[in-house]
Amino acid sequence: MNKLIMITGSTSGIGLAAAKSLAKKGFDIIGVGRSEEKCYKAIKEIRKENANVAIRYFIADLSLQSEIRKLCTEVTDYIDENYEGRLDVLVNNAGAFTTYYTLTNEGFEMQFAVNHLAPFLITDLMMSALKKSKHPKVLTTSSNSHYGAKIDFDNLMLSKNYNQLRAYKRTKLMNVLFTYELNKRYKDVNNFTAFAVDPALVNTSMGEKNTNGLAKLVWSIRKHKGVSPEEGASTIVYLASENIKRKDKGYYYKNCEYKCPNKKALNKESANRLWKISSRYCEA
Amino acid sequence: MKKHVMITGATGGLGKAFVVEFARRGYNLFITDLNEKALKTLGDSIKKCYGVEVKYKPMDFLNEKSFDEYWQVVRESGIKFNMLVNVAGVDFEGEFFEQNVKNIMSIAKINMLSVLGNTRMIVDYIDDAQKFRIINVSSLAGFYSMPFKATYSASKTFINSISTALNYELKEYNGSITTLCPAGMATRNDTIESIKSQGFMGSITTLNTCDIVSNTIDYAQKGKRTYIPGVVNNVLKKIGMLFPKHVVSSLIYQRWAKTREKVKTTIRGTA
Repeated sequence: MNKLIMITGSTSGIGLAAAKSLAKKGFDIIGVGRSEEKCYKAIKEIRKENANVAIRYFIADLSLQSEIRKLCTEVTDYIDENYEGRLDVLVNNAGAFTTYYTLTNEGFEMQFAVNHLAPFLITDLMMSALKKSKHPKVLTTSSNSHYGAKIDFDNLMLSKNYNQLRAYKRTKLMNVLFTYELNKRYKDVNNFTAFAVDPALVNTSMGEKNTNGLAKLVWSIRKHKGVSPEEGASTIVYLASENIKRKDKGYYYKNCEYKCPNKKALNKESANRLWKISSRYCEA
Repeated sequence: MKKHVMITGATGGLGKAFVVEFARRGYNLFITDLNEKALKTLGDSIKKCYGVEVKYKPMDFLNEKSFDEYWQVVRESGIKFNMLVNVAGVDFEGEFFEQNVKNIMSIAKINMLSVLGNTRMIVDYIDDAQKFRIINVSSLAGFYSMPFKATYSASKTFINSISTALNYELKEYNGSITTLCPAGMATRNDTIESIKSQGFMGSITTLNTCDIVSNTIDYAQKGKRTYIPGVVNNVLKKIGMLFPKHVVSSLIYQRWAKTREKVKTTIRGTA
């Protein structure tokens, strides 16, 4: 039976490129996107080069916990029916960048909800399926920008002095802290490994979707210097498909190689504290 | 003693920001809006995250029965309030004479009647031991007579006017009213689109909602009467006051006539 991988944010950019490459490598694909139309397009594009791949897309708005719960129930049913309840790799790749402080209908800051809470909750809800794999892996797309970030637990969602870039960086640091804690908490699960992926600067449209003015301009100039989505996805493809022996603390990868993350992301207390707060925020 | 705040229009862009900020500050909340499901979604999440009490009851200001039922629930809750935030408001953009008459009338009713009704009702349920504060969400539009936003700006002028007058009557109740007069606010995709369409002017007159809300609460607690967020907006307002009203209206007419070309979609919001 083929290995099964679930990738969020996989209708464009890095996520779609990763899905294409992994389909070629013999993975069965579960994709997640926000719009039906884009999901259809993604399936078509993946099938272009891999006509017979088993592929299924689910639609969900990952800024809302209610939608995430619904999504994971649907995905679990699908996995139970077709894969004996087993998921091999989860890639938390969906991300958001918003210029202004915006709240979800559940009262969370948008970037915090999509970039941090969504990976946390999806991983939690898919864990029992992952445990059935021989080599379960959880990959979370972080970013180089996490090096310049700090976490302030009294102002976690930046509801004071909000700044778009500071909020983004902070959620990317959270991705690394989350990965660190994930490895610690599930070290007894057979061969479980979590990785934070730094895709390098990639030419995608993410920074232009909900931004304006200077941020949009900077993004549109910078992205041309970026590598192609295929190149950006290469680390995800590598980590998902190769048998990687994890070195101590070696969970942050860029260009298919281990790299030392921000020291703040290796802080035991922060990682534990963030985990606890996130669990409370994600209580049913 | 825990403090209690009532917030109307709680599930809209600005309303949500007030709800989150008050919860962060440890207030117990009583929230209302039209949609019960949206109130429950927000309320349950806030309870879980901030450990404060959240009560909610939907209300439709256009419906007298709904208004009475709402205040019945407030009475039965036995809560003594320290603050009221009147956020509820609507706008239907467009030329007055092309608009649906029901829409025009609902702008006036919701924006004005909700403030009148709630402000009158809440004084029966305030915490006498402490100062009582009301925040009325007005708009920079309230200082002008704005073509293309005629009903909306007039309704906000009404809010400014009644707030000024009631500030004196409220002294007997140890209370005060602060009017928040922002320019455009980036709370949802459609308002962000609208700000984008105004280009440079849009981006320099727009502040983050979290900062506006936090400052507004600070202003209210100090008993200040008006808060206009942003240096640029304050300067614009002062310049605007130097000219006769019809000159300002004419300038606004010319500017909006251009902008309207870019925004074809209907915009609803409280900015």
